[in-house]
Amino acid sequence: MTAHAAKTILAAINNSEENHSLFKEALALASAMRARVVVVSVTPEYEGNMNRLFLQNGEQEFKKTLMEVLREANEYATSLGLSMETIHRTGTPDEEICAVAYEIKADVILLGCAKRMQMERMMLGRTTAEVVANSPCDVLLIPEEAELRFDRILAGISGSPASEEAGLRAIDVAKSYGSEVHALYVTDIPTDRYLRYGVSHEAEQKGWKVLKKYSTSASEQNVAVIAAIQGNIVEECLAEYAKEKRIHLLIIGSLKDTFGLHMFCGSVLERIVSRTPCPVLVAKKQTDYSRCKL
Amino acid sequence: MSTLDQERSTTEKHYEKPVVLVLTRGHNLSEAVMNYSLNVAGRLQHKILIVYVNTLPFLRSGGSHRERFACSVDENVSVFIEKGKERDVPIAYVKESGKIGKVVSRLCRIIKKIDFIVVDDGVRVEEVVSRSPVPVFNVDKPLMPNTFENVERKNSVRQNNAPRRIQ
Repeated sequence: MTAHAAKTILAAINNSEENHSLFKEALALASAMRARVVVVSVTPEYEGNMNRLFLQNGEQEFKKTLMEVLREANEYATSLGLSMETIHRTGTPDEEICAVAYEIKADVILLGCAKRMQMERMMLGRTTAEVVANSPCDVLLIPEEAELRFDRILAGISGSPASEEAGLRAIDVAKSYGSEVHALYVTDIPTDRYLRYGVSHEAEQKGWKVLKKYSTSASEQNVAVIAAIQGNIVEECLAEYAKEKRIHLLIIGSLKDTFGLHMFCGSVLERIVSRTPCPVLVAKKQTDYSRCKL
Repeated sequence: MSTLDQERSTTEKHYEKPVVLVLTRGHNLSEAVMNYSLNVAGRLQHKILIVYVNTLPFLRSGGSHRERFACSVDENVSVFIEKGKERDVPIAYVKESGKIGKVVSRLCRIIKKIDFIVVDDGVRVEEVVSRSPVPVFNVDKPLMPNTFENVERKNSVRQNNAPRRIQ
């Protein structure tokens, strides 16, 4: 996300409403980062038979709309005098997006995100969560009406290695764009322990320690941090804080979910994305592509 | 610069010349704005980028509405491009949809060489000014000699300038 070296942005688009302006935001980001833009579109594999509907070439029909979307994106970039590469694939969307990210050595993946209810997520699949879990680089999730700005950024800090990565990314972005950095620690205490004497106070003390450590490391790099602690459900706190402070970008670490639980409750990331009005950057440890085997 | 960097063709090529952004709501750019922007761009040796913004909400019409919009834009811009060729002013255009403020803000972030923005009738200048980092101009429509507005204004001028009796 920093504007120093030549980088590659991978934008994954489809013909849905929330992806309508994703490639435009990718171009805007590329302009700031001096990066190249690659747009990928994946047609899901269809194994059924469309002959009953008098469709002889079902796969071609599916491809056609996505090819049209890619053509439009390319046309838009050309009319602005910019360059953009387009890739079309067929297969499982999340797998193909990650495969392309490895191939082109992407530095950030841009995804549009729909604000779906848990039931919708269960029915329609979890492409976003799967891409975030398997991607080799950071993933930037842009809601439908959101605009990519870096004036005020919020880092979700919890003291875990993943949140440390988010904190570092927030400092990097702030150094590049001169942003105001907010750091929020959420004391997520289980309900059964919440009423015990001193538990919340203890959690707060731990939180302040983590925040102090973070703000010290940020101030060493000349970045001032506004720290805050809130006690409630993580996604609710982050979303409310982002709304209240008019945050432009929320940075979180790649959170690991308990196996099986996310199928019914949805992953934390999905719940955060469905509530937050601003783009969400999921910071991941940078992959050394030279060591990767495709 | 390393070979790898050279291979990675960045998007920074942009416009070599500075750009005049001409903004219109819908598919029809008025002739007054067309002529004004051509004059200015020709004089300053700038490029023109016309932005046709479809401000209607996303309609589920199976793409027919969007196709009609695209056809009308192509028709309208062809006249402009012809005029541009005569005056040797390069013209490009894009079709956008959504809120005008957002479109302006995004384009100003994508193209760094926008010098100023000219807005057409029907576009609220305040909306553009609030989201634009560059100056914004609008063009007054020239009054036609036989229009009702013109006659009315003339009458009002006459009334104001009528000689007063000195008591």
